[in-house]
Amino acid sequence: MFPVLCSADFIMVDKCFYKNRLPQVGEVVLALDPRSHDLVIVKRVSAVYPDGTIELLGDNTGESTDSRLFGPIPKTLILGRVRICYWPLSRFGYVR
Amino acid sequence: MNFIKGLLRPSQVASAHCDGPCGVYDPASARIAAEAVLSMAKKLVALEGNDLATENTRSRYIAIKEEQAQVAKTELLILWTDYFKPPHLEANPEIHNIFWNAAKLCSQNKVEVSVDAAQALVDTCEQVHNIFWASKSRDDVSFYTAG
Repeated sequence: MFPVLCSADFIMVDKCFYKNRLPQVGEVVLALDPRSHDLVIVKRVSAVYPDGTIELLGDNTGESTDSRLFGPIPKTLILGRVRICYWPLSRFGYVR
Repeated sequence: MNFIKGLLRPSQVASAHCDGPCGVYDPASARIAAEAVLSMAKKLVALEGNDLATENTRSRYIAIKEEQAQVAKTELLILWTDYFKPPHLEANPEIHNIFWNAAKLCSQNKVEVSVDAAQALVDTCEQVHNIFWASKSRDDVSFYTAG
């Protein structure tokens, strides 16, 4: 997710954000990797399909493993919306 | 500052880039395995005799050839399916063909004892080396063989 997020950033996630709504294109989300549910990933929503599945892409497209490899994922794998980067303090701010 | 950072440390870790958090890929792993296959093929062709000691040596060579061909295939498939992305394919449309041929050569080297096929596998690893480092805009990593 470089340059929006860097390795070892601390982030805050709103885990209630998608209780009653679908993710929107452009939002950065925390999700379970569909290939291995013990791995948690951060990606940006690039498309929401009529069947409710969600396409995720990394911002650093040359290096990212995302829906181009594992396809769109069900909403049930979305854990929340990434809202704030709070560490390091020099990078404090909303994640957009 | 470290104390504050410790207090603020999240309870959960997320990966933002690749399959695992490491992001380390290098075609050298496949090249080393391919070289081992070539070495075993050469030794098998040169090995003479049918006594027990020679048969034992021959079976060890065959087992290593088989094992390393599979290692090479696994390493190549990781690069093909995990590292290379659609933008790389746009830049180099030959990527699929190169990996397809490389995987087939791994299989051929398991089935046969052929110095030519093993050398072809090493040569294909050099092709992979070249497209991999070109994709990273690196021209300072030369291909070399250990053997």
